[in-house]
Amino acid sequence: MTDAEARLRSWISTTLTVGMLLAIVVMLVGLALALVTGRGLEAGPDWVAGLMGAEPGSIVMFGVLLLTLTPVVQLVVAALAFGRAGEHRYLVITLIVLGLLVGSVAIAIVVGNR
Amino acid sequence: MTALLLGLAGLGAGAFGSLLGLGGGVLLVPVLTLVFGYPIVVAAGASLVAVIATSASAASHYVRTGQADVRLGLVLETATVVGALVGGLLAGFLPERVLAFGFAALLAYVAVILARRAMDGRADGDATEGDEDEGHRPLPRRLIVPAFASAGGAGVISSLLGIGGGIVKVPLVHLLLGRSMRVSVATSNFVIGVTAAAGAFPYLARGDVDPAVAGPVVVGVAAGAFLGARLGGRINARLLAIVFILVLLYTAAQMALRGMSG
Repeated sequence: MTDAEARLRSWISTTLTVGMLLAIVVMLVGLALALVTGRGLEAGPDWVAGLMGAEPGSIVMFGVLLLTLTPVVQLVVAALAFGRAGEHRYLVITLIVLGLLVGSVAIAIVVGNR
Repeated sequence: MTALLLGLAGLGAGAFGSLLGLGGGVLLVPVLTLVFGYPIVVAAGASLVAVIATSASAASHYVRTGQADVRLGLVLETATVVGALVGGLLAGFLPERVLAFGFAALLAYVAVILARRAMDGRADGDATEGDEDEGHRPLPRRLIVPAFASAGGAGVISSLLGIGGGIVKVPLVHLLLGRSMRVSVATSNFVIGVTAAAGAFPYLARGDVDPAVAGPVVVGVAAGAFLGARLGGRINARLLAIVFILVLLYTAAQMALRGMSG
């Protein structure tokens, strides 16, 4: 196995683990807070505002968002690894997937707010 | 109490799911709707997010050990992400009855094909492969169209039903592309994360992800997937295929029942 291949695997693997663990820790904090304070896990469309007041539901939703963004970050990292290794073919393929995913986020927001 | 039960349901689905290259959603959605009584959109929303956790946890292990073919996975993702988008739009138009019966038929068909392969003894080769690093094998030119069509279809089904779509991706890589069951499971897990994220964004934007359901379920699933991925290297490939066939048949029956009642 080449150094570039080891780097690619290590970067992707680390990104997935860190993103997932970070999201899980944030969700656990939200769940623990709900348990300790007795507050519910409700979170409306304006859950982001609830983060300031440490609302348990908002904290869990923040964890959900972190988790959903993890595959996106993983693609960015894969693109960097392919770029550094000079694997232009897979750099382009990774950027296409990334572009499609970002496009789907934009469409989801537009349709969701209609 | 409900949160604890949801967490335990997630733990079981996560462990079983990662062993089979399923995101776990195929098991989670029926449990959340049939056992806990949540609306399908809430079950699917929580399931898709949990699927990302399963995939991240298992794929991290599979990518590091070289069992997942990352390049093949990325090529397939160009189709699964488009499929997930199309599926999200289609979900608003197709009657659930049609989807349920179509899905039941697909699952039964795949189960039959896998069963025939297992009986032919062709799965035997997998058991001797161990954790061997197969590296990347390019997609053969003649298989590009069927592979992209199947991957696109997997993406559609994923976002329509709130599952990772491993149930289509594992047979796609194993049967169509001729890779070992182990590489198929590993690569499928890698593809599922990106596909489920593309499917989850519309649910998040619509407000269909309920933190009271998603929180405990995702934490449980992540813990289960962690256990499952570490058991994967020690489990016989033929046994894995047989379990997979049983899960396919069970899910097919569930889908048919949903179609009849829906």
